[in-house]
Amino acid sequence: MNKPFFKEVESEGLYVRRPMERISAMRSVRAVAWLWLWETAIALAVVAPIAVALRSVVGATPDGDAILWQPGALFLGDALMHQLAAIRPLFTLAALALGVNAIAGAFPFGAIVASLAFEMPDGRALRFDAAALAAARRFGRLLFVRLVAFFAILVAALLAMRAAAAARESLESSMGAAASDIFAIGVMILGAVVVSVLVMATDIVSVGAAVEDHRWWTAFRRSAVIYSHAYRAWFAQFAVGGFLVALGLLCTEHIPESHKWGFVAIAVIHQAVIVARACLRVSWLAMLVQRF
Amino acid sequence: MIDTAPVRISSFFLFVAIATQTACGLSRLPAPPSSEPIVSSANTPLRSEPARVVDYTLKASLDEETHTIHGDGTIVWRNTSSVAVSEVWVHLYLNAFKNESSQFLRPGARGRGNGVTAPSHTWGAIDVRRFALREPGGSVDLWPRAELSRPNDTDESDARVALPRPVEPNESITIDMVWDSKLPAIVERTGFDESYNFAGQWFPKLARLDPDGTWAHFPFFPLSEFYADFGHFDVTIDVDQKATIGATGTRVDARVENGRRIERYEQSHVHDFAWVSWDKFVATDEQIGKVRVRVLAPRGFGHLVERELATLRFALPHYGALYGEYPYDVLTVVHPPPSAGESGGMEYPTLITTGGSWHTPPSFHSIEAVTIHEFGHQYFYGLLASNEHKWPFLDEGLNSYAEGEALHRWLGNGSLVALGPLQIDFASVFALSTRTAVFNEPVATSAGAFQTGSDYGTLVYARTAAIFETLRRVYGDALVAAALGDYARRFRFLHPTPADFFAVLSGHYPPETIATLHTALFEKGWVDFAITDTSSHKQREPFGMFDRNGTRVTVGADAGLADPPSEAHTGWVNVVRRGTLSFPVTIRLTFDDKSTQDIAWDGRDDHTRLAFNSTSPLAFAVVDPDGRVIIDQDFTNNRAANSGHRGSARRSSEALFYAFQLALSVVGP
Ligand SMILES: [Zn+2]
Repeated sequence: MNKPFFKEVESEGLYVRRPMERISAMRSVRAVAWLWLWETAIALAVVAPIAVALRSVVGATPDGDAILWQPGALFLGDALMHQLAAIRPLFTLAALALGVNAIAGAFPFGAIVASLAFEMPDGRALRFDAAALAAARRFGRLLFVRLVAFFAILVAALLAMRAAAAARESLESSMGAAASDIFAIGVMILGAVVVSVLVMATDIVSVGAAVEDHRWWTAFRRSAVIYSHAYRAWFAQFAVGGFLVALGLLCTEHIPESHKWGFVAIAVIHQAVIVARACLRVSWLAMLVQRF
Repeated sequence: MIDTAPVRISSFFLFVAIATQTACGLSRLPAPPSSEPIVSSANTPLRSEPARVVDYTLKASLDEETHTIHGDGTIVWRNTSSVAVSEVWVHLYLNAFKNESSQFLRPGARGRGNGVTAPSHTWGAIDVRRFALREPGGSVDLWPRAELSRPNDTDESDARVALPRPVEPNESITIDMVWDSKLPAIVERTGFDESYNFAGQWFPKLARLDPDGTWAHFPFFPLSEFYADFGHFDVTIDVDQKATIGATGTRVDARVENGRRIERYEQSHVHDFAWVSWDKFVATDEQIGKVRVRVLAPRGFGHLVERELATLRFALPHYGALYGEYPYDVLTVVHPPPSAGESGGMEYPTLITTGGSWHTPPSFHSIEAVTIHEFGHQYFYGLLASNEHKWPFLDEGLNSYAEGEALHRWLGNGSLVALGPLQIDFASVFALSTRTAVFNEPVATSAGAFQTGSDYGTLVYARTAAIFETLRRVYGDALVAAALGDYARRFRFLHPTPADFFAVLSGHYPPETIATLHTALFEKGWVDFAITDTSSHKQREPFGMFDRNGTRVTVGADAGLADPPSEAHTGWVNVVRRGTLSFPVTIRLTFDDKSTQDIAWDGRDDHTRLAFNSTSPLAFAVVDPDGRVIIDQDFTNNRAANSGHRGSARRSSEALFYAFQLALSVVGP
């Protein structure tokens, strides 16, 4: 299924479909930028108030927050006990941010796909405002796909948990606790595979809905064909993404964080991991865009 | 018994531990440290045996269908008090599970909260059929005249049996008895679950006669445990041949007859006997020093058995060095099946029960903790045998301290959780969990007098442990090891009281420390150190108008600093000690140029102003920077920044920021 669909030109003539050979993450720095900016903005909104609270806890300490990580966790526990009232709303804030990400995330997603699939009529990369316009137009469709996917994933996860619990219950007396638990974990892993297929399918259908300007459900039809080929690619980007996190951990492990430049180096490595993961995800989406 | 209160407090830590658990190797526990524990009490002589007061020769035959133990046997009891007695008191603790009128199950019973966990489908009871005193003229059954409950009380777990004649000091009597014990569905310390039968408190057991001739007897309370005299047990257990038996003492005979497994166990110098039988146990045997250790666990729990054995490989020599050698040849460890978890975390002489699900992460040391806690009871319960009902802190409290000390010595700062940078020490959790309860009632309260089970758990277990941990940190390892070691050796087999305990401690600590300890245990003692104010400025002469040699001179900021200008700084720090406990502390001053100065304060007064001289302005002041006074009510006020200084939280903030970015990149926009 390599036949590209790029005949459509948006009615305003603001942007046109990109030729297939130019659709790639490498050529769409702006798509990566959309993703990184979105993740950074949400994380900032959540972590900034936490950072302020943290500073008020450790501000009177010569070592600053190092005191929280002293072996034994006496001062960490003490700080948590004193700041519990202050910390609780921060959990709510984090949950809220994830909720906003789940719904409003349809917008940056649309912008990322638009940045991959379209370009300016003169062949330049799609401007941010044009990508935003494209995303705004597709927001409703993308949100609908998200909600359906969310419930499908929820149902799959709940079913897997129920099945695992039932298996555990019925097998415990005959197989013993450990063996029946392992069986239940096997059922959960099967459930996780189903969930990951659903997550991947959500990406495919979402890309279809973002690229096709009319009937998003033709995207669904198309995606049925695509996803059989795509699973390996999806899993690969998932695995490489995990590898990047581990690599980041390995790189930062021996950097002295108390040193000013050590701290800067760690922060830079962390952002490099985030950007590299963004590139991975965008290239996976680019692969999908190519197929629509 | 292990209490759940400290664990509840630490549920946040546990959540962190479990949620972020990574695939670690199973055998990452460090080897026992090579350095010997510091003990200067090793020369205290060790009593080799207790006064022999009561001997039980029992036969127990289990009816697997009805979970009923048919028992018969003999008690030989000697009056070791100074007065003649005309009654005996018999604990019938299985009657605690007979109905909701018992002290144990009564709705609203202290320590049971709202959810009275009555045996879910089967009640338990002990019915004595015969309790006959052997007399020269033939035996007399005393049971028809036994008084199972008191007027105005319906509890039947503490029976009074009148004797036909007084028993003189040093005189012995022999009682033959026949009884039936119906096990309840598993409830806390005893009962059955399918083919698993745990027999604790399963036979009519004499209360202990104190030296003054009063019987220390009490019904079975949810919070209180045991007090009994030492003696010899000879018990023959008869169960289905498919079952494996675990029991107190050494197996001296084993045979299979007519489909029944019959095993006989004997043990001297103990004050209780418990046993278990289950057809699904896997047994693992290991010789640790002079002790034959047998672990009985369900299938698939081999890796936990190894963790329990590793714990005992450390604990047996460690406790031996600190509190005197473990005097028995055997130790049986029972890891109950998950469905009978309520019988886990319990101590009996030479038999302990542990617990924990098979997937307990290796970095979360609950398996090690419950094993070492219950093993420690072989000393603080088994060998010392204080009245646990009246003085639970001598039992559970000292045992919890010993548990934390041992785990810390073995596993270091991550003695509870060791997960990368998150290292949680038991002592931290003990100390932090007691901050509210400390104002509710004294630590040295009798088990029945605590308002709630949570207060009992927090104060008896955690607070006692935290108080002695404070002594250890402030005055050193050697002193507390010597004091507790001396106490454990001197009072082995002697049922010590708090007075005995303090008498030993007074030989090791100065009177003011003993007074502090007394306040901490008996008077809801608490302490909170805080820095209330700091000042730092350049050393200079006082400003103002001065009459010098007949001339009025103005010295001040406008007039320039005193001559010669100096880089020397001076200032002071105000420290307060709130509360009723006093400890010496260190105040650490950190200056602009990163240099530090430690100032010692004896902590006797309510507050002090400590002056300093330095070459750089004061940046921070911290009282007790290492958290030695671990029971400090609030560490956040122990620290103060001088104006313009601020500790940084950038590292943690950046880590959180990165973590949240990563989370978003996983769920995706
Ligand atoms: Zn205990």
